[in-house]
Amino acid sequence: MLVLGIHRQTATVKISRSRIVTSHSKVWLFLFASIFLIFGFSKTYAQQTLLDYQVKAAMLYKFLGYSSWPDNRFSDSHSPYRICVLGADDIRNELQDIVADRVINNRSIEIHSAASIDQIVDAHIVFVSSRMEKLLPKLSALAEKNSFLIVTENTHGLVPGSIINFRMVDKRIGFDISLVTAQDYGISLSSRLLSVAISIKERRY
Amino acid sequence: MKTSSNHSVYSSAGRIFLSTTTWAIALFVACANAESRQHSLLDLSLEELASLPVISVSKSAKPVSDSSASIFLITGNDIRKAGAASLPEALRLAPNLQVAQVDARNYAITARGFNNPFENKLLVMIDGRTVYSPLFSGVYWDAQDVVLEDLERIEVVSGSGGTLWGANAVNGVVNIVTRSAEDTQGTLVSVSGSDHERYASTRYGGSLGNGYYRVYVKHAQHEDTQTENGFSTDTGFKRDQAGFRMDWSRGIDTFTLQGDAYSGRLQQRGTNDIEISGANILTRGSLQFSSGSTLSLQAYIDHTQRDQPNAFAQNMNTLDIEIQHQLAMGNRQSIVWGAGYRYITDRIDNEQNFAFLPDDVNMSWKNIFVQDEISVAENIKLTLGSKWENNPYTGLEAMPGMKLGWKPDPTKLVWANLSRAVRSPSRIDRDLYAPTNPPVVNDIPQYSIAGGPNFVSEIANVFELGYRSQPVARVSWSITAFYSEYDKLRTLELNTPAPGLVFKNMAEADTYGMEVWGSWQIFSDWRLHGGLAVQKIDVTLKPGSMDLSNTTGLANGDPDYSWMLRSEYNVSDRIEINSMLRYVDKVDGFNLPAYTALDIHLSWEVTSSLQLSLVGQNLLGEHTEFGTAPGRSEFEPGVFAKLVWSL
Repeated sequence: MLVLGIHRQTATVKISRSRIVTSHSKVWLFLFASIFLIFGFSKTYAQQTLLDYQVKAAMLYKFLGYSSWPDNRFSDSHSPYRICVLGADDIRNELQDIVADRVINNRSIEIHSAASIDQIVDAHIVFVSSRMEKLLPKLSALAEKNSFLIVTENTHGLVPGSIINFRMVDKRIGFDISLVTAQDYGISLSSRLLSVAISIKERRY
Repeated sequence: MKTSSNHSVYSSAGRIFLSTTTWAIALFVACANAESRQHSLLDLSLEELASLPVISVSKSAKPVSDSSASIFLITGNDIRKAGAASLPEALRLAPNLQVAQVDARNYAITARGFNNPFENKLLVMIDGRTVYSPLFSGVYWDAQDVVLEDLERIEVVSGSGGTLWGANAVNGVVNIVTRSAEDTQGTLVSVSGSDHERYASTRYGGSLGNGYYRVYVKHAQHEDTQTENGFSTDTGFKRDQAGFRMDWSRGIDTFTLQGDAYSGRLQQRGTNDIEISGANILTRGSLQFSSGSTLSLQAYIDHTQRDQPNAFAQNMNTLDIEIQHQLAMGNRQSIVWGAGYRYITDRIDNEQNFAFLPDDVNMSWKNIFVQDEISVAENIKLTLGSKWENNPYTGLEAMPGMKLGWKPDPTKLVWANLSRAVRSPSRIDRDLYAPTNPPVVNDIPQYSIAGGPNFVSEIANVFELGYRSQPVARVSWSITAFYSEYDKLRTLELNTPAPGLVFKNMAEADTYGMEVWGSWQIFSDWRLHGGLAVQKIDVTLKPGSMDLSNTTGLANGDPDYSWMLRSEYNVSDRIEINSMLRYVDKVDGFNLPAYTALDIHLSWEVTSSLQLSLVGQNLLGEHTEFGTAPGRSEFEPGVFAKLVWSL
């Protein structure tokens, strides 16, 4: 390719220098034009298909309405719900877009993201992406004291420390629930939520 | 001329206008759609949300449990638990690799046989950058390094990977992946060593606008090893390396810019030190479209210098560009296609004993590949693909492959793989002459080695059958059986009627064997891993072959089997005891005895930011790993200590 390029330059250099520039820029312009065209169209068609993170974000929002936290997790009856997202910018951005003007139980919704455990302040739901799962052991110790509803996305199912785990089943987003962990963290989940779960882990006596 | 030139400017301006307009409209429609979708999604019930078909665009790699290949994953955590001292040592964790330390700085690493330090059938990449040398199709392990704490994972694929990765991925692919800069924030200082090796590294990671960066420096040094009869091998080294990585993401699109530079001095018996240096810069972008398709682009420039007294001085520059597009076609097909271009300038200053001729070459490789994964039935996937690579020696080579994967239930996978792999010639096969200035008799230079003017690509046809299962959450295991037919393997033959010897392709081989591994979480604080590789390598020379290459040539360095057992035990939240017991069978070609090695690693998290490790190495006594007596290196019991401080 490089050799070809050199040959072409030496061949055209006799004609005029500006010709070379135009012919090169023409190629570039055409390339960019095509790329924009292709991407433009695909971005349009795009929205007809749903992406996993969009549904996960919508579900995280829904979970707020089907869960209840100890009273001491709210400063007053209007203080906001807080969702903290660990390591999933796509879900965080989507949440920020969709919950802006939403209210559940007279509470507005705040979205935070955190790169480490120390940055999780006062969250009600903590979403832990698959690549941040290594934080779970430390996070679950914190969750027992602060009643975090920990949501994960492990492809194999519930992981120690998580209450709800997203899982793709037949190209759909489903979730597993651990009532054991929910009890440990002091969170109650509504029967509506349980009825949609793929599987429920309960304490056996 | 002028008119036509102007015309073309107008027409391209017209195209630009058209495309910009289209794009603007597209964007508007997209935004409008997005707006209505956001509201409609939230107004759906949970049941309705759970019933919507979605496309997964998650950045996490496809789970290993779904791959129809003999792939073993070494995670960053595995490396930490093993207390591995260096990159080649970390590779010992993969049961499907043969790792033999030759001396202080040389390793012989391969999968499925043909092992030696000039091994040429394994493709190794660090963050997508190929690190094998086109001089001999092998890896200079003494010039490769990473900060081990910043490793995300090492994917080890044994078997042919040619359909996706191209030539050289004949017996396996090692894909070393460092962590995103986002995951390596803050300061990390790591100091480690024993009485014969020392490492120190510092990394700092921070954020930059809407992205993240890290910078690091690392020093490594190793004393000479001792031979069985008590002499120094004079193979110690010192090496310094520095680098950076920057990662940005915008929604689901990612962009990476990274680079490294190193310089080192390696000892060599009887000469001045070998001086090595190099630098690389790599950029990679991945755009994911809501239609589910992904476009990845990668480009890098790599500079390598190696001044090896009494051998050669090499100055090599590589430019490599790759594009890959993944898209779904209908509900049943997922297509990946791509193209690549590599351009290398290689300048060699030859010395007396041997020469690479011509000494200066410019070479290019071009490739295209396409792979189609077809869902034949609900739980059966058929993957068809091929790569076509044009190399400077033999022209176009095809590397087709076919895979079949069947998941009888989500916890089991049965797979079969049929593929053709190619090792295209490297400079050592074609351009190696000795001595550099031969006597000339009757106008004919009297070379003792006269290159390999007719050397062509080595070929392997590989068949694999595998089963992977996770019967219960605590147990997972995998077994692969393989059979490969190699043809046109390199031999050294008489150059009749001219004098000397030339490289030809006059050997063939059959190899077969199996690889088994598994892990068992016995209690929540105790996990066991086991692995076994068994192989049989039958090499036959074709009629008329004299093969005089002896130990540098065919399969002399391979054990029939090896196994390993790893235990990970958490004594408490802060103390772990991890150990690895491994056995490597005797190597007949070298009259090398079998050995068993035991390493025990005690790790103590003193505070959340300070970790202290002690590794007892080779606790069962000394052993040798490669080569013939009495000049081969012997590895003795020792204590390796490591301190990692993170802020």
